[in-house]
Amino acid sequence: MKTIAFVEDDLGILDVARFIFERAGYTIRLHHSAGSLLSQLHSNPDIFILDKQLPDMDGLDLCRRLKTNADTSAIPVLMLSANPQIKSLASAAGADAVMEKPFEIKDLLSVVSQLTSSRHN
Amino acid sequence: MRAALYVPIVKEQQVRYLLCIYHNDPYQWFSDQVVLLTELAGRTWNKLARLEAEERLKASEENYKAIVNQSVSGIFKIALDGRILFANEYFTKMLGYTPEELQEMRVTDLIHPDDREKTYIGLSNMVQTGKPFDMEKRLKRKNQSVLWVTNYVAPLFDGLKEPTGALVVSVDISRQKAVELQKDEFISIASHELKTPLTSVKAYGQLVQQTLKEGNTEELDDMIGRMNLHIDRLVNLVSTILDTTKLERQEFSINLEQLDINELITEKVKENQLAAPHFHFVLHPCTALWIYGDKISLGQVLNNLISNAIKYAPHGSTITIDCRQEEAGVKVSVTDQGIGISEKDQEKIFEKYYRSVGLLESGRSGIGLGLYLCGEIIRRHHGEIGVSSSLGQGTTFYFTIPSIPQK
Repeated sequence: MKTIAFVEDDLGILDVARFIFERAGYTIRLHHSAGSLLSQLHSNPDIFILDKQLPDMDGLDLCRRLKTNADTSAIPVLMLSANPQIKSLASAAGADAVMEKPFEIKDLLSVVSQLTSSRHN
Repeated sequence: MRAALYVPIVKEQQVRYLLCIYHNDPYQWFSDQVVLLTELAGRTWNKLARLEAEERLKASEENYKAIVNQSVSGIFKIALDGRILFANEYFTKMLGYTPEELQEMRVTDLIHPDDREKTYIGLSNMVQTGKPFDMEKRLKRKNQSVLWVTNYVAPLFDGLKEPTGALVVSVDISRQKAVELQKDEFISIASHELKTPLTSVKAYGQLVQQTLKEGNTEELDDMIGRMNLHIDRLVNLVSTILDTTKLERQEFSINLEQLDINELITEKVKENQLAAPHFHFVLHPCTALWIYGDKISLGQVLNNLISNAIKYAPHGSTITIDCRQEEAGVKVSVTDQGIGISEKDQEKIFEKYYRSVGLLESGRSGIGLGLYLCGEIIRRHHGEIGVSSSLGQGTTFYFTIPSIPQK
């Protein structure tokens, strides 16, 4: 079973993410801040899904940090944001994929499936 | 006895001057002397007329100079090569240069680099067509700060009707630009804030649809309940925006009725507890206390203060809601164990569009209208609103409203 680390400051979106991914057969670890994720990186997930707006760090900076850390650089990062400029910003930060909020669940699941399967192939 | 000869200087059938010749002793004027003096009077007129015209011109110039220097717009004159030939006092004040410094400069030195090209195009069109134009642009002050202006530019011509330069009236529009910027920023923030609950609503909508297709209805009740909570968040956000607009248009009204503040607080705490089960809510109720209040507006204030506590405090922490009778009336406070608010931010936190610097740096959002609206609602209840906080120690927001004396 693939594991997702989902980092988002909004409780509502964390809740709905749990519904979406558990129903699709994933294990999901929810983090409401960058600090919470970074302190629990002892077992790496199969994908990081990051919001841009986090309480303790910009999600793009968190993405850069994960991509420059040898232990996590190979793990795909999907950036999620309501910011319309997210596409260009996320690409510059080294994210593997980007999705604007609000999203279609089937698109989200399809991107996550592609990113997690390509990693192991 | 003395002798005198008066020769009137007449122009257009009016005596304009009188040429007077006196003799200290009695004297009989000869006719050729009278003819000579009459001739002299005629010649003197030309000189006097010229002096009069010069006086008028001088007065007129003084008049225009006073108008130009009293103007609350910058006025300056440039040559075709861009040299600044003249600048009024106001323009020197706008930019912080002395008149002497300005006269050593070219107009391009004053224009923000990003606005130079459109200025060249405007000036070149004006020289070709001979028509005035206006343009919004940024100027650079001596201290390198930016000043937004609208420049009204009119061509100047020589006697052969060839363009020689331009006269520019420069109006400071920095306040208008600041309002525009604030409005754009607000739209961008409000869109982001609306998209967050919309994301949850849309996702739950899709999940409900999928669940119905699968025929698995066990989770439906829970999903629809959660979806409704996010719809309430959206409604609250939209209401805050609309109420602020009503306040600005003086259309915001409250309907005061007798109500039990304790009952209202209990209701709002329950609602928020449901929406944020990760927090520990502690309610210190007061005994039934009646006030004259608008139930909907005061409910908005309570929701706003509690949801702020939820937003800025760590998960699992305690939010305390306290209600007590004081001399001034009933005092309601909401205390969290969150990141706290600096003293500087506390001074401005009830201002419209204000978002605390600490919160912005921490990436937390808000549209900057909630507390402003709370303040206005409490003032309309003849009450007071306030905050006490220290960084890292949590925050208490409180308000007092006069209570109805117990019989």
